Amino acid sequence: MKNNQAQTAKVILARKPDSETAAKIEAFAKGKGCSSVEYTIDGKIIGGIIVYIGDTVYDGSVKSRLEEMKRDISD
Amino acid sequence: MFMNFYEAGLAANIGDLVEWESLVCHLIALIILTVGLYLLLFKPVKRMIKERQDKIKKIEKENSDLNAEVRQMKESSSVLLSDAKKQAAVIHENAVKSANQKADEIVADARRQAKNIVERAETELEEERRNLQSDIEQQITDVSMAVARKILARDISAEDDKKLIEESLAQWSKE
Repeated sequence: MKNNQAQTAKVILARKPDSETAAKIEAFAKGKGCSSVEYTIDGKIIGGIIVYIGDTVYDGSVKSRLEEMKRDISD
Repeated sequence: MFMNFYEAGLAANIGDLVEWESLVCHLIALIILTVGLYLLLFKPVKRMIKERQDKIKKIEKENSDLNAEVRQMKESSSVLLSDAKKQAAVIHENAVKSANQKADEIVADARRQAKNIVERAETELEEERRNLQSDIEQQITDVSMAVARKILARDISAEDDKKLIEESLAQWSKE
């Protein structure tokens, strides 16, 4: 927990978040023990959100869901 | 008449002409000549003829022996020829058997190889078909995903995006 507090949550979004969404993201990061949030806008993820906190990755992007679907179809 | 005179004259003449001593001498000479000829000429000629006959007999015997030998050789050669023919027939039969066996082996081997080739080709064809099917499925998936990505990128509104983000955050917060 002490480690996470010194960390920054790196957040990737497809478009710039509005203040309400940003507040929810920051609350989530804080809940995971992060002191700050760093945003990156990348249209390649199509939609949703990816959060990097330390070695943990929270991937809720449309891109990853599509990849998962693709894997399911291929299998 | 004339003949009687003539015959009477002739007999008188012969009597005048032939002297008995001379006749005897001639006879003795004739005998001596005959004996001489017999001793000097007839005997050697007879001996020579006998020798010739012996020689001919000897030659005939040799000829007969040779003929017998030739007959024997002919019989022997006939037997040899017959044996050789039998051996040749056996060799020919064996060669034919061997050739047939070899031919059968070659045909069987060719059939085996052909079967293997066909099986290998079928296996390769099946594998190729599977690969192709897999490639096509992959391509269809890729194209579908690309299309879906483009459609989603175009159609996902800010509101939808916000909802997605909030759902994700809510789910992660529960974990």
